[in-house]
Amino acid sequence: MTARRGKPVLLLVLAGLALLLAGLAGVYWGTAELSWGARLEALLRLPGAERHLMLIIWEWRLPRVLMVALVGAALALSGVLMQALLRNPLADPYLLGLSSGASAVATAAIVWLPAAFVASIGLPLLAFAGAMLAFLVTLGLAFSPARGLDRLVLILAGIAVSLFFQSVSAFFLHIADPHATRAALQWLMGSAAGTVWRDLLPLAVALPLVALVSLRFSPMLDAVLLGDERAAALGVPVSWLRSGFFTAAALLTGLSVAGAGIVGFVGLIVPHMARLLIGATHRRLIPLALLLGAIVLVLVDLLCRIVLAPQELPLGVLLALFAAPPFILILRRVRHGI
Amino acid sequence: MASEPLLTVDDLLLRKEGKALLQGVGFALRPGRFYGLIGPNGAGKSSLLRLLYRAERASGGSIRFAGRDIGTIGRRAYAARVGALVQEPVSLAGLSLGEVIRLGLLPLRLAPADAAARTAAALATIGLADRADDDAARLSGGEQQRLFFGQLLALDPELYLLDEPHNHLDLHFQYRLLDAIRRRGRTVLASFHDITLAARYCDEALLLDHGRLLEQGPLETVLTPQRLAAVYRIDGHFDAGVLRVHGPV
Amino acid sequence: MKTLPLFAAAAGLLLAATPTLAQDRQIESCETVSSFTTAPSRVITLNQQATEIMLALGLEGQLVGTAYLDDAIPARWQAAYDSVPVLAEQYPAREVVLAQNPDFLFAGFNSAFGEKALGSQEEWNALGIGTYLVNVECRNLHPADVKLTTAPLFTDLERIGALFGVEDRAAAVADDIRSRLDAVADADPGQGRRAFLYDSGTETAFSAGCCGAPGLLLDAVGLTNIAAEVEGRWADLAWEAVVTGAPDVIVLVDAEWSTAAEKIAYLKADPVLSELDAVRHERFVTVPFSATVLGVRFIEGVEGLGADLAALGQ
Repeated sequence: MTARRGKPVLLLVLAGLALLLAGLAGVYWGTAELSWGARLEALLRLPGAERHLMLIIWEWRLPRVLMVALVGAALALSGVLMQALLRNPLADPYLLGLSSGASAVATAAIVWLPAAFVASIGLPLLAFAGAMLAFLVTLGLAFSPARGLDRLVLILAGIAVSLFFQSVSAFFLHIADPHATRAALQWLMGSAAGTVWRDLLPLAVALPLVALVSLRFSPMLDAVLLGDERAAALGVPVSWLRSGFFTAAALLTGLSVAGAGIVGFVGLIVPHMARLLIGATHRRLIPLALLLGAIVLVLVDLLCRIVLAPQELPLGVLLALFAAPPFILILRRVRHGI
Repeated sequence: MASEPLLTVDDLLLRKEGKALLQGVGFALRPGRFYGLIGPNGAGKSSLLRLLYRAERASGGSIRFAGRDIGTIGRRAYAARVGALVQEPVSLAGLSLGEVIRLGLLPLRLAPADAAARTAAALATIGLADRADDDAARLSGGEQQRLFFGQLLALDPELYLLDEPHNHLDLHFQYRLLDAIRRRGRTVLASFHDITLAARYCDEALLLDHGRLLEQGPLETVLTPQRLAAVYRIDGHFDAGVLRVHGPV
Repeated sequence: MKTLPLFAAAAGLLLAATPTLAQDRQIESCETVSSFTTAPSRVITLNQQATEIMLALGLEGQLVGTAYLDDAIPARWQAAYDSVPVLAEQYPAREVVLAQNPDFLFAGFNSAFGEKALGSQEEWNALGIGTYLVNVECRNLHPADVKLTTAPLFTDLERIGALFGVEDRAAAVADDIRSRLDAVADADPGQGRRAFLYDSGTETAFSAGCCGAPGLLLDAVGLTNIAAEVEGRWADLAWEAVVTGAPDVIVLVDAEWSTAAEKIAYLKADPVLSELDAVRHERFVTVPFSATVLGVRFIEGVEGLGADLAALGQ
């Protein structure tokens, strides 16, 4: 059976086109029922377009779709990095406690601090801080001067930290007024609603940077797949590589949580989808993972807005439901040697 | 064409969790010669090799390569000149055989055409040329070992470090691959369990026991019956390149 | 001769006392029926509506504990409320409730009799303690796709009145509410205008569904709910739906956890929502949280909303 499936360039071009179409769909369709002509006018900002429709498309849908695309791509890249660095196919961006840390801080803030204070600092920033806090605690627990970052210890530390922060979240949710926690729970389940253009900046800067660095170092990431010692023998600074890319993955994940709440599944499954289609060589894997992650999340977000209109579902609710079947399809086709 | 040693090790010490895995080890490797690293299990052979291919750092002593302390040589530069066959279990997934071989060329910055040529040649030598695009995950233990040999052959460094090269390989490939390496004429330091195999290839042997280098020299000189009894705990002697064993001690 | 009036007086007293002694009282609640020989005298109320019904009927003497207030008790009942111990800020633990040795539990939300709070009504009835859940919260009687009326409130007043022997007072309160509701309906302050009820939320708008108390509030003043076709008591409206709903007026629910001011600030800060007609012309009206609950103060919310709407003019 061949390791390299379809032609990589073709795959990447197709994925790119798919993303473009998905993005357009996300902007074209949504909760509001608009006529086709009105949509086109609003999208192109023609003089005859209705003002509030133009606003819906340009101030709401476009930033939201872009945010969701960035988050999907960022989580997919984080997943690729985690799985490579830990040589573990079950690794995902939240393994290092990031999502639990973000939830804990966000929940605590909503429940404990005055609403005005939370609004002025912004929940995204608090969530990001929580994610980084958990990450640092995990690293601190796992690092030993003698052995550096041992993979197994790191995974266990991440689980321990996750459990701890999950209890913190649960505690705050329990003691709080259910009315107040409604807001917290909704945000936790993932949503990019309410994204304004300004919110896109951090991720729009960080993602290309990390992606470019990852591509630059992709041969080294490949080498790590062969084993720590082999990679060292090939001249790869394994410890530095690990620390550096964990930090990058944590950064991307923290920013993603800040942008759209906790979005599971993408970081774990999209790298596998991409790997099945294009192989494990990171120079090709990374671009495809970025594109697939973006596509998955853009489409799921669209569905969340359409399925129960005029009500809106959080991302987490539909994510696994709609994203699992395509993955199973790809898995089966590859197993049958197509 | 100096006969300056390629690699010099002096008073090497490796301590881990209070135990000294290597102590007072010193030797020199001259260019172009095939050296065998022999000794019973736990003698420290793998630990020594790990220090030499820089997967670990020594606790004391010095290692000099081509006259320079290896701490002063950049990782990539060192890896381009010193290659290793590592005994590390790993499951490869999603990489093709060709891609794995190519990874062996990481320390060099080759043009794609050169890289492709070396890869193809290596695949031929290891007998897996027809499966270049196959998934490396489906290789047997022996095929995986051949693949890693192939990496090394493609890189063709000045110094080959081989940790238990015969592991998992059937006889045909044991001889075929070691022959291929010897033909290159480079400097080789390989650890051996099989004394007969060592005798066939080694110009000199380094005998390790309990973390210390007992002796360095031609195999026959090093493996006296007393040494065999003391270190290997067998009653035997070395005769015309073959080890004759009478029984355990 | 003197003993005859004495006998007559004694007989009269006996006759008057007999009905109270012999009567078997029952009260029906959702799927349970609780029976008593006399009116309960050790009542614990959970949630504000239950407490307020008791206070409105002057029954604070029968209360031994209250719990789970949502907002402030009106001034006219403050003294009565303060005379009863508060068991907990939210739902008290079951042990705490039982330790008070109650004979009747009266709740305002069905979460009170949920697993995480006090446990089911059947469990308490089996212990010999009567229970009552306000009629509007009986899910079996009021499915999520059928519009509410004010009938459940009157059912509560009638039943509680009968249980405690204060039928007259209950009837008076009920009639008062009825006539005031009719007055508002006649005045029709809403005039069919489209309304967006904004309770809380920023990712989505927590608003009124077709068939709950908030929807009933809008109906009572003659407003049209923009989410009228969404099934359920509450709805998680996407903001786009709010925009296309084109509300004429925005009804803000003011509560401690989400003030009207916060919501107005959010609406004005958003690039699309700030362009809404109702936002630009500040056609905001505010109701307290208690107005979205079908309790005895619902009518105050209705009247307040009606007055504010009338003041808004066209």
